[in-house]
Amino acid sequence: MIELLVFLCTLAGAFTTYRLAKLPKFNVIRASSALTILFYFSALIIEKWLMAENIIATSADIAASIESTETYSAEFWATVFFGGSFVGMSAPHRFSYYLLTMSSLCFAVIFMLLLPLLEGVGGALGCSAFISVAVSHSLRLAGNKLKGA
Amino acid sequence: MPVVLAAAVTGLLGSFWHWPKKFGNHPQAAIYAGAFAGMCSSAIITGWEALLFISVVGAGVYTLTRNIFEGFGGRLGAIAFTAVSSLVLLRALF
Repeated sequence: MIELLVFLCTLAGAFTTYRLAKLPKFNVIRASSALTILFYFSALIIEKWLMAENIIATSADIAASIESTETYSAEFWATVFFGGSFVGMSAPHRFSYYLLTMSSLCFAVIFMLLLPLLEGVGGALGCSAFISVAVSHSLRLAGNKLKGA
Repeated sequence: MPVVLAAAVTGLLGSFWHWPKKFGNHPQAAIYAGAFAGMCSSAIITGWEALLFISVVGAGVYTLTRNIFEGFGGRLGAIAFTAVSSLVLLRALF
C-alpha cells in the first residue's frame, strides 16, 4: 500500500511540475519549489487532521498510529513529492507523459530501496531522479533502435 | 524547518531574483543546485570550509556540464550529489 502511495505521490509531483512549468511566468525551478511548498503544508494539514481523528481510538491504535505517523510524516511525503517534481523538471521536447510515468515508477523503486542508505547526503534525491530519467530515456533509445533494426 | 521545505523556499526565492538576460536561467538553477547540496546532515557539513568546498566543486561541475544532459530532470540534484560525494570521498582518503 505504501509503495503504491509513494508511486502515486511521485507521479503527482512529476506531472504537476511538468504542466506548471509550461505556463507563462513559471519555469521548472519555480514550479518545482512552489508545488513542493504547497504540498508540504497540505500534507501537514492532513497529518494534523488524522492525529485529531485518533483521539477517539483505543490506546493500542494510538500507539500504532503514532509509530506510522512518525515514519510516514508530512515531511516524508513532501520528500517523495519533491523527488517526483525533479522528474517533472524534464524538458517537454525530450520527455513525453509516457516517459515521465516510466521515470516516476523507476524513481519510486529507487526511493524505497536505495535512498534509505543515503540518508543525510545532499543531492541524493535529485541524483535518484536523474538516474530514473536516464534509465527511461535509455530504454526509449534502445526501443527505437530495436524497431529500426 | 524541515530540509525539504528549506530547499524549496530557497529555490522559490532564487527564482524571483532578476539577473541580466544574458545569463539565462543559469543563476537560478545554480541556486537550486546549491539548495540541494545544503540538504546534507550536519555530520557532513561540519563548518564553513566544507560548505565552501561543496560550493566550489558544485559550481565547477555545473559549469563543465552546462551543455550536457540538458532537459534531463534531476540534473541539478546529480550535480549537488557529486559535490557532496567528493567531500565525503576526500574526507575518507585524508
